[in-house]
Amino acid sequence: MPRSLRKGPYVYYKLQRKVNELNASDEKKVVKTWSRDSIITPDFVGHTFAVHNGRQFIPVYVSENMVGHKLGEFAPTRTFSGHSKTKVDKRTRRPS
Amino acid sequence: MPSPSSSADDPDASPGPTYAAAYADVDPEGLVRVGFVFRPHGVHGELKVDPEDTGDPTRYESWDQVFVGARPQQVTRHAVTGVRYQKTKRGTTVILDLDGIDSRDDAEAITKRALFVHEDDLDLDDEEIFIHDLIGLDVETEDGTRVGTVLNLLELPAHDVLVVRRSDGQEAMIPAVDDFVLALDLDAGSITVRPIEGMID
Repeated sequence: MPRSLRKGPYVYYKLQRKVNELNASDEKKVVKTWSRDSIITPDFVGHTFAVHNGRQFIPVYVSENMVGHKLGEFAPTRTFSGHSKTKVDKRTRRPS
Repeated sequence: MPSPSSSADDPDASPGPTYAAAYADVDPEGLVRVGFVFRPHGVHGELKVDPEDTGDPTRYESWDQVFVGARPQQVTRHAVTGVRYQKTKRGTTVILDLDGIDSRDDAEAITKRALFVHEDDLDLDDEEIFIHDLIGLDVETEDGTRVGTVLNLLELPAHDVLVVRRSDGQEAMIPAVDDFVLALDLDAGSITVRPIEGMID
């Protein structure tokens, strides 16, 4: 059964408080959180959260299309072995 | 009656081809892995290749030659004589027909090896960059303060993340988005970033 609409989306109250403070002061800084189950609400957009994955904090820059998802979805908990020394045809979008 | 001379006694006798002699004379630094030969296909020497996922599996048609081997230092050169594609549950599989590989036995001899092409044969869009080109670049802030060296690039669900080894040996993570990565200069070997509070501390 889905969460009642009356309650609204779940956001850990301390996380919401930090976001409110950042929005009020219009400053940008990384917000560390262990609250992987908090829902991303529209007032999170543009902020960067360091979401704990059980071992380290993964920076998550929130964009509009992430609203409605949970923070933990963007900080995988499984180990990534890293890229090999051999050159591999793996590409990424050129930043900036 | 003179005894027949053996090749071991004849100093001019050719030692015969060795496996190492069959390796292609190519700079291993210029080779890029584009797939993995995971099994033979059929009895005519075709190979099934699991391609690296770049969103364009049909690029195999554009290559005249490929290199097969366990490592870039130990590859054999083959001309591409045919390319087909097969849709499978795990995506598109490439079926390659290579010059000099004419039987299933020949194909089995080069399975479980990587497939390479020369870097010059790969087309990059203006918007794209190879991940291996990013690794080792110097990272500095707008005011010229050195942050460290790119150690890795994590491909995460939200966006890519640059893993930077700081001067003090600690690791910092910087989201590879336009708000934080301002400029990328491959010739100078540097990335200019604009970190916010708490990002590289």
